[in-house]
Parts: sequence; C-alpha cells; structure tokens
Amino acid sequence: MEESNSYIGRMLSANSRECVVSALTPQKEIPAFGSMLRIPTGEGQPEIYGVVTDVTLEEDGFLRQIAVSSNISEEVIRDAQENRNVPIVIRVFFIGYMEGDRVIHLLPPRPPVTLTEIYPCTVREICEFTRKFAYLRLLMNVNHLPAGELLAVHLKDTAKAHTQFGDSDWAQRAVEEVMDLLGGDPAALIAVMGAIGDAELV
Amino acid sequence: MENNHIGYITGGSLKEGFTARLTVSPDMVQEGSFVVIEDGPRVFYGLVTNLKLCAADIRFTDAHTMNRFPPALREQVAAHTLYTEVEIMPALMQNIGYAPGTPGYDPFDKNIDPEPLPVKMVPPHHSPMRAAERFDVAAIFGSATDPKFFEVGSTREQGHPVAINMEKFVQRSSGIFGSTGTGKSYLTRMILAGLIRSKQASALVFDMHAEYAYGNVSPDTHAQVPGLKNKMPDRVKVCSLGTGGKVGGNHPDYDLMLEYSDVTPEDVQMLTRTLNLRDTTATTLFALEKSFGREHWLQSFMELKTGLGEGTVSDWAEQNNVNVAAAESLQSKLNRLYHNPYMVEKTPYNVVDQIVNALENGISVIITFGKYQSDLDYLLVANILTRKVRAVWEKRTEDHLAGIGTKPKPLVVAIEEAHKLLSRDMASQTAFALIAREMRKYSVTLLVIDQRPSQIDDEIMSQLGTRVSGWLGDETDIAAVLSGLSGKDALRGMLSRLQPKQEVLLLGYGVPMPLPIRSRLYDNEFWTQLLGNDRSKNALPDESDDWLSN
Repeated sequence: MEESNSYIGRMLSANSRECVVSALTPQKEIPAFGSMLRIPTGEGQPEIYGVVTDVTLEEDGFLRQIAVSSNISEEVIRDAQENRNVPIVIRVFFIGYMEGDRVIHLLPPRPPVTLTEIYPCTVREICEFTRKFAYLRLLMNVNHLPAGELLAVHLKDTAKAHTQFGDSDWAQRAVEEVMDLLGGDPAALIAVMGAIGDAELV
Repeated sequence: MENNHIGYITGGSLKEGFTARLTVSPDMVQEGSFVVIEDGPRVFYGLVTNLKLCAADIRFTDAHTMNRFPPALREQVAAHTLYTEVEIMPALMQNIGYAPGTPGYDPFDKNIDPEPLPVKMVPPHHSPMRAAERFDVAAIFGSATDPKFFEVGSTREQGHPVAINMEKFVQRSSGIFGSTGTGKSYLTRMILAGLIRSKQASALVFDMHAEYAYGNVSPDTHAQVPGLKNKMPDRVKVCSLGTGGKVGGNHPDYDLMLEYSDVTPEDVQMLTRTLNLRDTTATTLFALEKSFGREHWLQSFMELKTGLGEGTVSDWAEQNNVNVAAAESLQSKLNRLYHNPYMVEKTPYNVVDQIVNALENGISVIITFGKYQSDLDYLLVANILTRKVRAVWEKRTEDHLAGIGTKPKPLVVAIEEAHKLLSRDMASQTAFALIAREMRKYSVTLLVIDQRPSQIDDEIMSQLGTRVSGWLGDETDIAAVLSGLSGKDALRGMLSRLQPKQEVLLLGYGVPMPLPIRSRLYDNEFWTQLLGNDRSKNALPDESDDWLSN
C-alpha cells in the first residue's frame, strides 16, 4: 500500500449512501475492490470516507472492433488499456466521515458535489478511520454484492495497514465485531465467516 | 466482569428458578455448584441444578460446518456462537449493602441484614454470577470455629468447609441415608462425634452392627477404624446386651438385662412379622393383659404348662374365651423371646436408671448387641429401652413445666436399620414413631440411619428435619428422602448423581439451603481437629493416617 496524495478521478453522481466515480488512471492503478477512498468536500466540510464496491470497465465502439480483429499488435492492446477513451467507473459506498479529527461512523449528512476529486486513503488514514469498528455496520448493508466477499477483502486489506502500525490483533477484533453484528443471522454469519476463512484473515 | 465471575443472569422466575449464561468453560461448573449472584446491594445464593449446551443456531453445532473454517477462526466462531446455560435453584438472598468504594455505599445503611432470607425477588438481567467463596459458605452455613457448629465436609469444587448447626440439628429428628457402601456409618460416626463434642445433646445409639463404640475393620483398607468410645472415653458409655460379654475385646461399662415385666403386649405386636404371629395375636394379648396384669402377663403366660388340665394354656384359654390353638401357638412363638439369656425375672441392678443418669449428665450411651444380632433382639431391646428413656424425659419435662427440677438435656436416639422399626405396618406400635412425631417438645429426637428410606413410614419421613443423604439408586428411596421438601424435582437428579463414596447432599431444617458436599474423611486429622488438646490419652494408637482411603 503506497502513500498517495494524487487523486484518481472525479465524482460523477452520488446519493446519501454511495457515489460513482470516473477514474482516468490506467487499469493497473485503479483502486482495489474493498479498498478505502477519501472524498474531501471542501474547507470546513466533512471529509467523506468510502469503500470501493464495484469497478466497471465499459467498452467503446472502437474496442469492439479491435477485439474482433485477427492481428492486433502489442502496442495497440497496451494503448487501449492505458489510454482509454471511456473512463473506468468506480462505485464507492460511504462508511463515514471525518469532522476535523473526529471520526464519525455514520452516513455523511449530504453527498459530495459532482466532480469532487477522489483520493485513495493512506495507511495512516486507514488506521485512524478504522480504529473502531462501527463502520462495519454500514459496510454490511451493501446490497448489490455478497457482503462476505466485500468484508473479507476489505478486512484483509485494512488488517495489513494496522499490522504495519503495530496492531496485529486488529483483524481478530474486527471478526469479533462482524460476529456480533451478524449474531441474529446465522446463515449470513456462516457465509461471511466462510469468505473470511478463505481470505486467511485470522 | 471481574475475574471471579463465571457467568451472568439471562432469565428466570421465582417459580422455575434462574437461568444464566456461562462465560467460562462448562467443565468449571457442575450440578450442585453453590453460586452467588450479585445485584448491587443484594446477593442471591443458589444451586446449579442443570447445565445445558446451547448454540446461537443449530447450524453452529454441526461439526461439518465449523470444520470449513481455519482452526483459529473456528475457535473464535465457536466461542461466539456456542455457550453453556445453567439453571439455578435460588435458595436464599441477603441484603449486604453496596461495597465500599462503589456508588451507593452507605456505612449506615439500615437495609443491611446479615440474616439470609428466602428468595422473594429476582436479580436483573446480566447480574454477574460467581462461584461461592469461603466467606459465602461461612456466611450461610456458619463457621466451624463456632462450638455450636460442626464441619461435616466441604464444597465439591472449591473445597470450602461446610458446617452444620448442631443446635438446630438436635431440635428436630434427622436422618442419614445412603445405599450400602456409601459411607453412612463413618458419616454417622463423625456427626455423632461432632454432636458429643458440641455438648448440644446426649446420644443414645443403638449400634446394631457394633461399629460405633470400639470401631471396626474398614472393609476397604482392612485397617482398624476407631470408634467413639476409643476417642472420647469420658463422654461415651458402652452398654452391651447380656452379661459378661465383651465388645471387640473390651469390657462394656454396663451389661444390659431386661425383665419379663418390661415387655408389653405392644412390644409383642411390633414383633408380629419377626415372630410370624397370627392375626388373632392381638385378641390373645388383650386377654393376657386383662388376666395377669400389664407387668406380669408374659411371665405368667409363659409359666403355663402345655397339655390339658389345671394350670395349662388350654385351661386359661377356655376360662378367658380365647381360642386354645391361638393361645398355644402364641406361647410357642414367644419362647424365642422369653428364653433369651438377657431376659430375666429380676435384674440385679437397674441398668435403665444408669443409662438415664449418664444421658442426663451429657454422656452418650452406645448400646451394642454382642452375640444377639437377630432382628428380634434389636427390635425388642431398642423399643423397650427407648420407651423407658422416653418416659423419663417426658416426666422430667412435665415436671419442669410444673416448676419442678430443670429441663432435661436434649437427647438424640440414633437407630440403625431404621426401616425395621419405622416401617409403615409397624410405625404406630413402636416408641420411635412417637418420638419422631411428638417428642420435640420433650427434647427427644431421632437420628434415623437407613439405606432404604422408602420403607420408612411416610409421615415419619416428612417429620425429619435435617437429612443427610449419600448416593441412592432407587427412585422410591430418593423420593422418600425428599418428601416434604421444596424443590424436590431439582434435587432429585442431584441426589441420584452423587458419587457413590464421600459425596452427600445436605437438606432440610438444620442447613440453610440444600447443598451437595464432599464429606470429611474419617481419619486422624478429623479427630485431631475435633478434639485438639482434649484428645484422650486412652485413645487407640493410630496405625494409619487415613482409615478409609482405598
């Protein structure tokens, strides 16, 4: 995980729970599924944090023609992958915001304005925002994909950041929190724990 | 939660008891565990009556499902979704006030009551539960350092000493029960030693199997186990049935002889089964008493000759409108009784007076039966002697109430094989039934020792105050021990699952709440602790430190 202050794209649309971001970065540098992003909303305004829940690579008419050609050179393929005409679309689910130094694990009061710059979170930002686990409650409410898959990837990614900062028990505590949150839903708990087990998180 | 907490309350009611969720491994708690539930200024004392393995969902009990997870995660999921629920029989509650240093602490709190009370409230959800500590056990059962109390054993898990209040123990009749080999005799010996030591009462012990006076050989270790006379010679007298007999090589203090006039028609009726008497016996006995008088009926009847003519049984029967065959049959069957060597026309001295005198002076008396080991000897002698002693206590109490003399010292009559004297068909005819029912006001109570409590008359069983029971296998015996007690259903399982040796359940009047305990070992340490410096110089040399261990 690299420290970065360069934005990866701008926001296209948003609602109270999530936003869609247009990223212009090369495919290899797009933020990973389950990773955390930071959305500054202006001076004196809360800084919204979110998790990548979907990445869409849409085709344009030219790509379709290239794809059916019999002889495609390496340069053409690389050019199509690195200099895309149609931007990559990233779906980001809000998991809270920062008000000054205060971490708040609630949905933001209002969505960011369009074309706001979106930044990947640094390791320090990840650790500060995820020191407590209440945001997992929001993350488990993502309903367009299996919660277990998202949680497993996100927790594994975040646990690495915490381990880097000397907190190697974070993953175990996070799993406890997930079990508490899913206590009333055994089927979901088994599914999520299955994904967490596959991710070799604990 | 603090480290000593083992769970917290999750539900319950006064009728059905409390339920709690364990926060420790289920093997740290067992049925019968003495637990304390803390609720701010109050504490509730209870017994674990059931343990139940539970799961947040049935799917988590499926090993196949759980095995899909890596070991560390599996452990974490199991700790979160699988748990143990305990059922608790609430027994007592106590208002102890808030602890110093906690909000609400008031050193002058007027609601603080050192006396435990019956449970009339329920602790709120999540009240922490812990295993009883030594001070909890002492607060409820009393401290063995108090001379009124006798340490009978210890709690099974933590080994905290448990004492019986001997003052309460002798206020009502009590019972010691358990199947063969559960250590009844040793337990009785220890309780009698504690009773004698406490000076709360004198004991009249009918020692059918010659175990209590000079001890016996342990069936487990084959070591000589001392008796009460060995260890407390100044406080115990031994009385042997018949003359010139020795008890385990020792000379008894008294020889017990009975006079023919001691035997009443009721004594004979009590022996109906033993002597195989007919249904007509009652009529014949009535006629004999009417004809010869209450004192002389036996000797006069037995001196009648057989055959025909004047001075014969048939002649007497015809004159008194009694069936001749019935009278002749009765005389024949009474021969066993009449010709016993310990039955005489006139004893050289009044042994009963000497026994009474000893008992009144706080000296306990053990009656041993020597070579007279039949049921006839035991039933006849125990009944006659108890009736005579009881009559003395009755008179002394009546005199005391009338302003003459002092109140007699409490007396405990200990009877082994009690079902033989207190069975349903015999109870109304023996002196013991009356003691169980009515003699509390005359300061005489029974200590019933038996392995078949179900054979004892129900009414007498229900009159027993303190009950100490070892393992019992028979359902009817278990039901009999629990008769007249609350919480029978919860206690039934506990009683049936006691260890066959050394574990007993304390119940009833003499103990504040039921509790399964590990009884003390009858060993050198027991006597050293009991007697201390008072230990007799005449005691037998101790050959083994532990006479009972296998």
